[in-house]
Amino acid sequence: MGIETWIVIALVAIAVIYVIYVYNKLTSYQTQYENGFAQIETQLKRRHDLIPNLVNTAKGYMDHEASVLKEVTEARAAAEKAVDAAHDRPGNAETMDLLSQAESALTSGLGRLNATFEAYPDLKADANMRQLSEELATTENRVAYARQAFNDLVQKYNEYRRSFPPVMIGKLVGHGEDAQLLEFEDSEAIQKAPEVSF
Amino acid sequence: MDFREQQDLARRQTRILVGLYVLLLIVAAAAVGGLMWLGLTLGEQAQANQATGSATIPAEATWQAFAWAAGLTGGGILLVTLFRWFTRSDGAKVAKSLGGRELTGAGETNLSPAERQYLNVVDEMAIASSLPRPRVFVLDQESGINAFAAGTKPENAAVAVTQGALDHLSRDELAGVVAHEFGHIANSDIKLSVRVAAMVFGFTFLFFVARWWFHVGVGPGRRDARLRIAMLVGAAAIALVGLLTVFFGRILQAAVSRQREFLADASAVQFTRYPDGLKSAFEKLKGGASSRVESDAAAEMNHAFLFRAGGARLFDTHPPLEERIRRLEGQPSA
Repeated sequence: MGIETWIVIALVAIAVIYVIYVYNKLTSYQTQYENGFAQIETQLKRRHDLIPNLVNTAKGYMDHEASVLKEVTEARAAAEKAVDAAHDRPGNAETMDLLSQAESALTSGLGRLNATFEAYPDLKADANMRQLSEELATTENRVAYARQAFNDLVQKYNEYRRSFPPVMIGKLVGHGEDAQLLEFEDSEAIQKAPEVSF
Repeated sequence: MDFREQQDLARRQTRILVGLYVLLLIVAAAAVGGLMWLGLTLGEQAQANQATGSATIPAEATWQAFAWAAGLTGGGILLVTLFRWFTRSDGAKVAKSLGGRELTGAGETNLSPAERQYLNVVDEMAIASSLPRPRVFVLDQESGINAFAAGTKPENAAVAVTQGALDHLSRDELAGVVAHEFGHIANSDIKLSVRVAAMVFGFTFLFFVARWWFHVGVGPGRRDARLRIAMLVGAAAIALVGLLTVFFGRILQAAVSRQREFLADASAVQFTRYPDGLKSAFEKLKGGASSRVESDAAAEMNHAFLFRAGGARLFDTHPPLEERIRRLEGQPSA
Protein backbone atom coordinates (compact mmCIF):
# COMPACT_ATOMS: atom_id res chain seq x y z
CA MET A 1 0.00 0.00 0.00
CA GLY A 2 1.16 3.47 -0.77
CA ILE A 3 1.73 6.22 1.70
CA GLU A 4 -1.44 7.97 0.53
CA THR A 5 -3.55 5.04 1.65
CA TRP A 6 -1.99 5.16 5.09
CA ILE A 7 -2.65 8.88 5.37
CA VAL A 8 -6.30 8.33 4.44
CA ILE A 9 -6.62 5.51 6.98
CA ALA A 10 -5.04 7.70 9.67
CA LEU A 11 -7.37 10.61 8.91
CA VAL A 12 -10.43 8.38 9.00
CA ALA A 13 -9.28 6.88 12.30
CA ILE A 14 -8.80 10.36 13.79
CA ALA A 15 -12.23 11.43 12.58
CA VAL A 16 -13.87 8.34 14.06
CA ILE A 17 -12.10 8.83 17.39
CA TYR A 18 -13.18 12.47 17.46
CA VAL A 19 -16.82 11.57 16.75
CA ILE A 20 -16.72 9.04 19.59
CA TYR A 21 -15.23 11.67 21.88
CA VAL A 22 -17.96 14.21 21.08
CA TYR A 23 -20.66 11.58 21.40
CA ASN A 24 -19.40 10.52 24.81
CA LYS A 25 -19.23 14.08 26.03
CA LEU A 26 -22.74 14.87 24.81
CA THR A 27 -24.06 11.74 26.44
CA SER A 28 -22.31 12.55 29.69
CA TYR A 29 -23.85 16.04 29.77
CA GLN A 30 -27.22 14.54 28.91
CA THR A 31 -26.95 12.09 31.78
CA GLN A 32 -26.08 14.95 34.09
CA TYR A 33 -29.16 16.98 33.27
CA GLU A 34 -31.29 13.88 33.42
CA ASN A 35 -30.01 13.31 36.93
CA GLY A 36 -30.77 16.95 37.63
CA PHE A 37 -34.31 16.32 36.55
CA ALA A 38 -34.57 13.34 38.87
CA GLN A 39 -33.95 15.74 41.76
CA ILE A 40 -36.74 18.07 40.57
CA GLU A 41 -39.01 15.09 40.16
CA THR A 42 -38.35 14.02 43.75
CA GLN A 43 -39.22 17.49 45.00
CA LEU A 44 -42.31 17.85 42.82
CA LYS A 45 -43.57 14.46 44.06
CA ARG A 46 -42.97 15.66 47.60
CA ARG A 47 -45.05 18.71 46.77
CA HIS A 48 -47.84 16.62 45.31
CA ASP A 49 -47.85 14.29 48.31
CA LEU A 50 -48.37 17.22 50.64
CA ILE A 51 -51.45 18.51 48.93
CA PRO A 52 -53.98 15.84 50.03
CA ASN A 53 -52.93 16.43 53.66
CA LEU A 54 -53.21 20.16 53.18
CA VAL A 55 -56.64 19.85 51.58
CA ASN A 56 -57.90 17.42 54.22
CA THR A 57 -56.75 19.58 57.09
CA ALA A 58 -58.29 22.63 55.49
CA LYS A 59 -61.57 20.82 54.77
CA GLY A 60 -62.32 20.47 58.44
CA TYR A 61 -62.28 24.23 58.85
CA MET A 62 -63.43 25.61 55.54
CA ASP A 63 -67.12 25.26 54.80
CA HIS A 64 -67.71 27.48 51.82
CA GLU A 65 -64.52 27.20 49.87
CA ALA A 66 -65.03 23.85 48.19
CA SER A 67 -64.21 25.30 44.78
CA VAL A 68 -60.68 26.36 45.79
CA LEU A 69 -60.01 22.96 47.30
CA LYS A 70 -61.32 21.23 44.20
CA GLU A 71 -59.20 23.43 41.96
CA VAL A 72 -56.04 22.55 43.88
CA THR A 73 -56.89 18.85 43.86
CA GLU A 74 -57.41 18.90 40.11
CA ALA A 75 -54.26 20.90 39.49
CA ARG A 76 -52.37 18.33 41.52
CA ALA A 77 -53.70 15.45 39.45
CA ALA A 78 -52.71 17.21 36.22
CA ALA A 79 -49.28 18.04 37.58
CA GLU A 80 -48.72 14.45 38.62
CA LYS A 81 -49.52 13.26 35.13
CA ALA A 82 -47.15 15.85 33.67
CA VAL A 83 -44.33 14.69 35.93
CA ASP A 84 -44.83 11.10 34.78
CA ALA A 85 -44.72 12.18 31.14
CA ALA A 86 -41.58 14.28 31.73
CA HIS A 87 -39.95 11.46 33.65
CA ASP A 88 -39.54 9.45 30.47
CA ARG A 89 -38.30 12.34 28.35
CA PRO A 90 -36.58 15.00 30.47
CA GLY A 91 -35.32 17.90 28.40
CA ASN A 92 -37.91 17.27 25.68
CA ALA A 93 -39.55 20.54 24.64
CA GLU A 94 -43.11 19.22 24.64
CA THR A 95 -43.11 17.42 28.01
CA MET A 96 -41.18 20.25 29.68
CA ASP A 97 -43.75 22.77 28.48
CA LEU A 98 -46.57 20.60 29.70
CA LEU A 99 -44.90 20.20 33.07
CA SER A 100 -44.20 23.90 33.48
CA GLN A 101 -47.83 24.71 32.67
CA ALA A 102 -49.19 22.10 35.09
CA GLU A 103 -46.90 23.17 37.91
CA SER A 104 -47.64 26.83 37.32
CA ALA A 105 -51.35 26.08 37.59
CA LEU A 106 -50.72 24.23 40.83
CA THR A 107 -48.64 27.10 42.18
CA SER A 108 -51.33 29.64 41.51
CA GLY A 109 -53.96 27.31 42.99
CA LEU A 110 -51.90 26.97 46.15
CA GLY A 111 -51.50 30.73 46.23
CA ARG A 112 -55.26 31.20 46.16
CA LEU A 113 -55.68 28.50 48.81
CA ASN A 114 -53.22 30.28 51.07
CA ALA A 115 -55.06 33.54 50.56
CA THR A 116 -58.28 31.80 51.58
CA PHE A 117 -56.66 30.48 54.78
CA GLU A 118 -56.38 34.08 55.93
CA ALA A 119 -60.10 34.06 56.63
CA TYR A 120 -59.83 31.12 59.06
CA PRO A 121 -57.94 32.00 62.23
CA ASP A 122 -58.68 28.59 63.79
CA LEU A 123 -57.08 26.86 60.84
CA LYS A 124 -54.02 29.05 61.07
CA ALA A 125 -53.62 28.14 64.72
CA ASP A 126 -53.92 24.40 64.03
CA ALA A 127 -50.63 22.65 64.92
CA ASN A 128 -51.02 20.22 62.04
CA MET A 129 -51.53 23.13 59.69
CA ARG A 130 -48.46 24.92 60.94
CA GLN A 131 -46.35 21.89 60.22
CA LEU A 132 -47.90 21.49 56.79
CA SER A 133 -47.18 25.07 55.93
CA GLU A 134 -43.53 24.64 56.92
CA GLU A 135 -43.36 21.51 54.76
CA LEU A 136 -44.94 23.40 51.91
CA ALA A 137 -42.50 26.28 52.28
CA THR A 138 -39.46 24.00 52.25
CA THR A 139 -40.82 22.02 49.31
CA GLU A 140 -41.35 25.17 47.26
CA ASN A 141 -37.78 26.19 47.99
CA ARG A 142 -36.44 22.77 47.10
CA VAL A 143 -38.29 22.79 43.81
CA ALA A 144 -36.83 26.20 43.03
CA TYR A 145 -33.26 25.21 43.91
CA ALA A 146 -33.46 21.88 42.11
CA ARG A 147 -34.79 23.68 39.06
CA GLN A 148 -31.89 26.13 39.14
CA ALA A 149 -29.44 23.23 39.21
CA PHE A 150 -31.29 21.44 36.37
CA ASN A 151 -31.32 24.56 34.21
CA ASP A 152 -27.60 25.06 34.76
CA LEU A 153 -26.94 21.52 33.54
CA VAL A 154 -29.25 21.89 30.56
CA GLN A 155 -27.48 25.10 29.64
CA LYS A 156 -24.11 23.35 29.79
CA TYR A 157 -25.39 20.59 27.47
CA ASN A 158 -26.91 23.06 25.03
CA GLU A 159 -23.82 25.24 24.94
CA TYR A 160 -21.57 22.31 24.14
CA ARG A 161 -23.98 20.88 21.59
CA ARG A 162 -24.15 24.19 19.74
CA SER A 163 -20.39 24.83 19.76
CA PHE A 164 -18.63 24.37 16.45
CA PRO A 165 -17.50 20.86 15.71
CA PRO A 166 -20.09 19.19 17.96
CA VAL A 167 -22.94 21.00 16.24
CA MET A 168 -22.08 19.12 13.03
CA ILE A 169 -21.62 15.77 14.72
CA GLY A 170 -24.53 16.02 17.14
CA LYS A 171 -27.20 15.44 14.50
CA LEU A 172 -25.50 12.26 13.30
CA VAL A 173 -25.33 10.65 16.73
CA GLY A 174 -28.75 11.46 18.14
CA HIS A 175 -27.98 14.77 19.84
CA GLY A 176 -29.67 16.99 17.30
CA GLU A 177 -31.90 19.02 19.59
CA ASP A 178 -31.48 21.43 22.45
CA ALA A 179 -32.70 20.24 25.82
CA GLN A 180 -35.53 22.37 27.16
CA LEU A 181 -35.08 24.52 30.24
CA LEU A 182 -37.75 24.15 32.86
CA GLU A 183 -39.21 27.64 33.35
CA PHE A 184 -42.35 28.02 35.36
CA GLU A 185 -44.59 30.81 34.12
CA ASP A 186 -44.52 32.62 37.42
CA SER A 187 -40.80 32.13 37.79
CA GLU A 188 -40.55 35.03 40.18
CA ALA A 189 -43.21 33.73 42.49
CA ILE A 190 -41.68 30.31 42.89
CA GLN A 191 -38.26 31.72 43.71
CA LYS A 192 -39.71 32.68 47.02
CA ALA A 193 -41.79 30.40 49.19
CA PRO A 194 -45.45 31.41 49.19
CA GLU A 195 -46.20 33.87 51.93
CA VAL A 196 -47.69 31.77 54.69
CA SER A 197 -47.90 34.25 57.50
CA PHE A 198 -48.53 32.36 60.68
CA MET B 1 -15.67 36.92 40.62
CA ASP B 2 -16.78 33.40 39.85
CA PHE B 3 -16.64 30.26 41.89
CA ARG B 4 -13.66 28.65 40.16
CA GLU B 5 -11.62 31.84 40.48
CA GLN B 6 -12.38 31.97 44.19
CA GLN B 7 -11.11 28.46 44.67
CA ASP B 8 -7.92 29.25 42.80
CA LEU B 9 -7.48 32.29 45.00
CA ALA B 10 -8.03 30.18 48.11
CA ARG B 11 -5.40 27.71 46.97
CA ARG B 12 -2.94 30.53 46.27
CA GLN B 13 -3.56 32.00 49.69
CA THR B 14 -3.02 28.61 51.25
CA ARG B 15 0.35 28.28 49.53
CA ILE B 16 1.42 31.70 50.79
CA LEU B 17 0.30 30.76 54.28
CA VAL B 18 2.20 27.49 54.26
CA GLY B 19 5.28 29.38 53.08
CA LEU B 20 4.93 31.90 55.88
CA TYR B 21 4.45 29.11 58.37
CA VAL B 22 7.63 27.32 57.27
CA LEU B 23 9.49 30.62 57.48
CA LEU B 24 8.21 31.32 61.00
CA LEU B 25 9.03 27.75 61.98
CA ILE B 26 12.63 28.10 60.80
CA VAL B 27 13.01 31.48 62.50
CA ALA B 28 11.57 30.19 65.78
CA ALA B 29 13.66 27.00 65.74
CA ALA B 30 16.82 28.96 64.91
CA ALA B 31 16.05 31.47 67.65
CA VAL B 32 15.66 28.78 70.29
CA GLY B 33 18.75 26.95 69.03
CA GLY B 34 20.71 30.20 69.00
CA LEU B 35 19.69 30.97 72.56
CA MET B 36 20.79 27.49 73.63
CA TRP B 37 24.14 27.98 71.93
CA LEU B 38 24.59 31.41 73.47
CA GLY B 39 23.71 30.12 76.94
CA LEU B 40 26.17 27.25 76.73
CA THR B 41 28.92 29.47 75.34
CA LEU B 42 28.43 31.96 78.16
CA GLY B 43 28.41 29.12 80.68
CA GLU B 44 31.59 27.76 79.20
CA GLN B 45 33.27 31.12 79.44
CA ALA B 46 32.11 31.48 83.01
CA GLN B 47 33.58 28.12 83.89
CA ALA B 48 36.74 28.93 82.00
CA ASN B 49 37.14 32.11 84.03
CA GLN B 50 36.40 30.32 87.28
CA ALA B 51 38.53 27.24 86.87
CA THR B 52 42.11 26.77 85.77
CA GLY B 53 41.37 27.63 82.19
CA SER B 54 40.43 24.22 80.73
CA ALA B 55 37.04 24.41 79.04
CA THR B 56 34.72 21.58 80.19
CA ILE B 57 32.38 21.89 77.29
CA PRO B 58 33.98 21.23 73.93
CA ALA B 59 33.14 23.69 71.16
CA GLU B 60 31.37 21.15 68.93
CA ALA B 61 29.06 20.24 71.81
CA THR B 62 27.60 23.75 71.81
CA TRP B 63 26.89 23.39 68.09
CA GLN B 64 25.30 20.00 68.72
CA ALA B 65 23.18 21.63 71.39
CA PHE B 66 22.14 24.27 68.85
CA ALA B 67 21.10 21.60 66.38
CA TRP B 68 19.24 19.59 69.00
CA ALA B 69 17.41 22.57 70.42
CA ALA B 70 16.47 23.86 66.96
CA GLY B 71 15.42 20.41 65.77
CA LEU B 72 13.35 19.61 68.85
CA THR B 73 11.67 23.00 68.78
CA GLY B 74 10.84 22.80 65.07
CA GLY B 75 9.68 19.21 65.41
CA GLY B 76 7.60 20.03 68.46
CA ILE B 77 5.84 22.92 66.73
CA LEU B 78 5.16 20.72 63.74
CA LEU B 79 3.74 17.91 65.89
CA VAL B 80 1.47 20.23 67.84
CA THR B 81 0.29 21.76 64.56
CA LEU B 82 -0.48 18.37 63.05
CA PHE B 83 -2.23 17.26 66.22
CA ARG B 84 -4.52 20.28 66.11
CA TRP B 85 -5.03 19.86 62.38
CA PHE B 86 -6.27 16.31 62.81
CA THR B 87 -8.47 16.96 65.83
CA ARG B 88 -10.13 19.84 63.98
CA SER B 89 -10.65 18.06 60.68
CA ASP B 90 -13.83 16.24 61.58
CA GLY B 91 -16.72 18.71 61.72
CA ALA B 92 -18.96 16.60 63.93
CA LYS B 93 -16.24 16.31 66.59
CA VAL B 94 -15.77 20.07 66.65
CA ALA B 95 -19.50 20.65 66.93
CA LYS B 96 -19.71 18.18 69.81
CA SER B 97 -16.77 19.79 71.60
CA LEU B 98 -18.76 23.04 71.62
CA GLY B 99 -21.73 21.32 73.20
CA GLY B 100 -23.61 20.56 69.98
CA ARG B 101 -26.51 18.11 69.86
CA GLU B 102 -26.98 16.36 66.55
CA LEU B 103 -30.24 16.43 64.62
CA THR B 104 -30.51 13.63 62.10
CA GLY B 105 -34.04 14.27 60.92
CA ALA B 106 -34.62 10.61 60.14
CA GLY B 107 -37.19 9.15 62.47
CA GLU B 108 -36.94 11.99 64.98
CA THR B 109 -40.51 12.78 65.88
CA ASN B 110 -39.78 14.90 68.94
CA LEU B 111 -38.30 17.82 67.02
CA SER B 112 -39.61 21.27 67.79
CA PRO B 113 -41.10 23.24 64.87
CA ALA B 114 -37.99 25.44 64.84
CA GLU B 115 -35.70 22.41 64.65
CA ARG B 116 -37.78 20.87 61.87
CA GLN B 117 -37.56 24.14 59.97
CA TYR B 118 -33.80 24.31 60.51
CA LEU B 119 -33.36 20.79 59.11
CA ASN B 120 -35.49 21.72 56.12
CA VAL B 121 -33.42 24.83 55.50
CA VAL B 122 -30.21 22.76 55.58
CA ASP B 123 -31.68 20.32 53.04
CA GLU B 124 -32.68 23.20 50.79
CA MET B 125 -29.22 24.68 50.88
CA ALA B 126 -27.66 21.29 50.11
CA ILE B 127 -29.77 21.23 46.94
CA ALA B 128 -29.01 24.86 46.10
CA SER B 129 -25.25 24.45 46.53
CA SER B 130 -25.03 20.89 45.09
CA LEU B 131 -23.13 19.79 48.18
CA PRO B 132 -23.77 16.66 50.23
CA ARG B 133 -25.89 17.37 53.27
CA PRO B 134 -23.59 18.09 56.23
CA ARG B 135 -24.26 16.79 59.73
CA VAL B 136 -26.55 19.16 61.58
CA PHE B 137 -26.14 20.39 65.16
CA VAL B 138 -27.82 22.69 67.65
CA LEU B 139 -25.91 24.36 70.49
CA ASP B 140 -28.62 24.03 73.13
CA GLN B 141 -26.82 25.95 75.82
CA GLU B 142 -26.21 29.09 73.79
CA SER B 143 -28.81 31.83 73.85
CA GLY B 144 -26.85 34.27 71.63
CA ILE B 145 -27.46 34.26 67.87
CA ASN B 146 -24.62 32.50 66.11
CA ALA B 147 -23.73 29.66 63.76
CA PHE B 148 -20.68 27.91 62.41
CA ALA B 149 -19.50 25.32 59.95
CA ALA B 150 -16.73 22.84 60.73
CA GLY B 151 -14.94 20.03 58.96
CA THR B 152 -12.29 20.29 56.29
CA LYS B 153 -14.10 18.52 53.46
CA PRO B 154 -17.72 18.56 52.30
CA GLU B 155 -17.84 14.87 53.28
CA ASN B 156 -17.02 15.49 56.95
CA ALA B 157 -18.62 18.90 57.28
CA ALA B 158 -20.99 19.89 60.05
CA VAL B 159 -23.24 22.91 60.42
CA ALA B 160 -24.35 24.17 63.80
CA VAL B 161 -26.56 27.01 64.99
CA THR B 162 -27.21 28.22 68.51
CA GLN B 163 -30.55 27.80 70.23
CA GLY B 164 -30.70 31.61 70.21
CA ALA B 165 -30.60 31.62 66.42
CA LEU B 166 -33.50 29.14 66.29
CA ASP B 167 -35.47 31.24 68.78
CA HIS B 168 -34.93 34.68 67.30
CA LEU B 169 -34.41 34.35 63.54
CA SER B 170 -37.17 34.16 60.95
CA ARG B 171 -37.13 31.45 58.30
CA ASP B 172 -35.54 33.73 55.69
CA GLU B 173 -32.92 34.95 58.16
CA LEU B 174 -32.07 31.40 59.18
CA ALA B 175 -31.83 30.41 55.52
CA GLY B 176 -29.38 33.27 54.94
CA VAL B 177 -27.29 32.22 57.92
CA VAL B 178 -27.23 28.55 56.90
CA ALA B 179 -26.40 29.56 53.30
CA HIS B 180 -23.46 31.58 54.65
CA GLU B 181 -22.15 28.46 56.39
CA PHE B 182 -22.61 26.45 53.20
CA GLY B 183 -20.56 29.16 51.51
CA HIS B 184 -17.70 28.38 53.88
CA ILE B 185 -17.96 24.69 53.04
CA ALA B 186 -18.17 25.30 49.28
CA ASN B 187 -15.18 27.67 49.25
CA SER B 188 -12.98 25.34 51.35
CA ASP B 189 -12.73 28.13 53.94
CA ILE B 190 -12.88 25.73 56.83
CA LYS B 191 -9.84 23.88 55.57
CA LEU B 192 -7.98 27.17 55.26
CA SER B 193 -8.99 28.47 58.66
CA VAL B 194 -8.35 25.17 60.42
CA ARG B 195 -4.93 25.14 58.82
CA VAL B 196 -4.18 28.67 59.97
CA ALA B 197 -5.52 28.00 63.45
CA ALA B 198 -3.42 24.84 63.72
CA MET B 199 -0.33 26.81 62.68
CA VAL B 200 -0.92 29.44 65.32
CA PHE B 201 -1.58 26.76 67.88
CA GLY B 202 1.65 24.99 66.90
CA PHE B 203 3.68 28.02 67.92
CA THR B 204 2.28 27.92 71.42
CA PHE B 205 4.71 24.99 71.79
CA LEU B 206 7.40 27.65 72.28
CA PHE B 207 5.78 28.55 75.61
CA PHE B 208 6.31 24.98 76.80
CA VAL B 209 9.96 25.21 75.79
CA ALA B 210 10.28 28.55 77.61
CA ARG B 211 8.66 27.16 80.73
CA TRP B 212 10.93 24.12 80.71
CA TRP B 213 14.02 26.34 80.42
CA PHE B 214 12.75 28.51 83.22
CA HIS B 215 12.29 25.50 85.50
CA VAL B 216 15.72 24.17 84.62
CA GLY B 217 17.14 27.64 85.23
CA VAL B 218 15.71 28.10 88.72
CA GLY B 219 15.81 24.39 89.59
CA PRO B 220 18.30 22.67 91.88
CA GLY B 221 21.78 21.68 90.73
CA ARG B 222 25.24 23.11 91.07
CA ARG B 223 25.41 25.82 88.51
CA ASP B 224 27.19 29.04 88.06
CA ALA B 225 24.98 32.03 88.92
CA ARG B 226 25.67 33.62 85.56
CA LEU B 227 24.60 30.43 83.79
CA ARG B 228 21.37 30.50 85.77
CA ILE B 229 20.78 34.09 84.74
CA ALA B 230 21.62 33.24 81.15
CA MET B 231 19.05 30.43 81.21
CA LEU B 232 16.36 32.66 82.70
CA VAL B 233 17.06 35.32 80.11
CA GLY B 234 16.95 32.58 77.49
CA ALA B 235 13.57 31.39 78.76
CA ALA B 236 12.24 34.93 78.59
CA ALA B 237 13.62 35.33 75.09
CA ILE B 238 11.98 32.09 73.91
CA ALA B 239 8.70 33.19 75.46
CA LEU B 240 9.08 36.47 73.59
CA VAL B 241 9.67 34.63 70.29
CA GLY B 242 6.59 32.53 71.06
CA LEU B 243 4.58 35.61 71.88
CA LEU B 244 5.59 37.33 68.65
CA THR B 245 4.87 34.35 66.42
CA VAL B 246 1.50 33.73 68.04
CA PHE B 247 0.76 37.47 67.89
CA PHE B 248 1.54 37.77 64.18
CA GLY B 249 -0.11 34.43 63.55
CA ARG B 250 -3.34 35.65 65.12
CA ILE B 251 -3.33 38.89 63.15
CA LEU B 252 -2.77 36.88 59.98
CA GLN B 253 -5.51 34.47 60.97
CA ALA B 254 -7.92 37.33 61.57
CA ALA B 255 -7.08 39.00 58.27
CA VAL B 256 -7.63 35.81 56.29
CA SER B 257 -10.83 35.12 58.20
CA ARG B 258 -12.30 38.56 57.46
CA GLN B 259 -11.81 38.07 53.71
CA ARG B 260 -13.44 34.66 53.82
CA GLU B 261 -16.46 36.11 55.64
CA PHE B 262 -17.16 38.47 52.74
CA LEU B 263 -16.79 35.56 50.35
CA ALA B 264 -19.21 33.39 52.34
CA ASP B 265 -21.73 36.24 52.44
CA ALA B 266 -21.48 36.46 48.66
CA SER B 267 -21.93 32.70 48.34
CA ALA B 268 -25.00 32.88 50.56
CA VAL B 269 -26.55 35.30 48.10
CA GLN B 270 -25.59 33.01 45.23
CA PHE B 271 -27.32 30.02 46.86
CA THR B 272 -30.46 31.74 48.14
CA ARG B 273 -30.72 34.40 45.40
CA TYR B 274 -32.16 36.45 48.21
CA PRO B 275 -29.73 38.75 50.03
CA ASP B 276 -32.35 40.20 52.37
CA GLY B 277 -32.46 37.16 54.66
CA LEU B 278 -28.85 37.38 55.74
CA LYS B 279 -28.99 41.17 55.75
CA SER B 280 -31.94 41.12 58.07
CA ALA B 281 -30.10 38.71 60.42
CA PHE B 282 -27.17 41.15 60.49
CA GLU B 283 -29.51 44.01 61.26
CA LYS B 284 -30.96 42.04 64.14
CA LEU B 285 -27.44 41.69 65.53
CA LYS B 286 -26.74 45.35 64.98
CA GLY B 287 -29.97 46.14 66.78
CA GLY B 288 -28.45 44.73 69.95
CA ALA B 289 -29.02 40.98 69.85
CA SER B 290 -26.14 39.03 71.36
CA SER B 291 -23.87 36.76 69.34
CA ARG B 292 -22.02 35.63 72.44
CA VAL B 293 -21.08 31.94 72.68
CA GLU B 294 -20.39 30.84 76.25
CA SER B 295 -18.65 27.53 75.61
CA ASP B 296 -14.99 27.52 76.72
CA ALA B 297 -13.96 26.00 73.43
CA ALA B 298 -15.39 28.99 71.53
CA ALA B 299 -12.32 31.26 71.70
CA GLU B 300 -10.23 28.77 69.70
CA MET B 301 -13.02 28.53 67.16
CA ASN B 302 -13.86 32.22 66.94
CA HIS B 303 -12.90 32.46 63.28
CA ALA B 304 -15.39 29.73 62.42
CA PHE B 305 -18.45 31.49 63.72
CA LEU B 306 -20.87 33.57 61.73
CA PHE B 307 -20.44 36.51 64.07
CA ARG B 308 -17.85 37.46 66.63
CA ALA B 309 -18.17 35.02 69.52
CA GLY B 310 -16.26 37.45 71.75
CA GLY B 311 -12.63 38.49 72.02
CA ALA B 312 -10.41 41.52 71.48
CA ARG B 313 -11.01 43.92 68.57
CA LEU B 314 -7.42 43.86 67.35
CA PHE B 315 -7.73 40.19 66.52
CA ASP B 316 -11.18 40.53 65.01
CA THR B 317 -11.93 37.56 62.82
CA HIS B 318 -15.01 39.24 61.37
CA PRO B 319 -15.54 42.40 59.37
CA PRO B 320 -17.83 45.01 60.93
CA LEU B 321 -21.54 44.33 60.46
CA GLU B 322 -22.08 47.70 58.76
CA GLU B 323 -19.55 46.74 56.09
CA ARG B 324 -21.12 43.32 55.57
CA ILE B 325 -24.59 44.83 55.26
CA ARG B 326 -23.28 47.44 52.84
CA ARG B 327 -21.78 44.75 50.61
CA LEU B 328 -24.97 42.67 50.71
CA GLU B 329 -26.82 45.74 49.52
CA GLY B 330 -24.42 45.80 46.59
CA GLN B 331 -22.81 49.09 47.52
CA PRO B 332 -19.07 49.55 47.08
CA SER B 333 -17.08 49.35 50.27
CA ALA B 334 -16.29 52.64 51.93
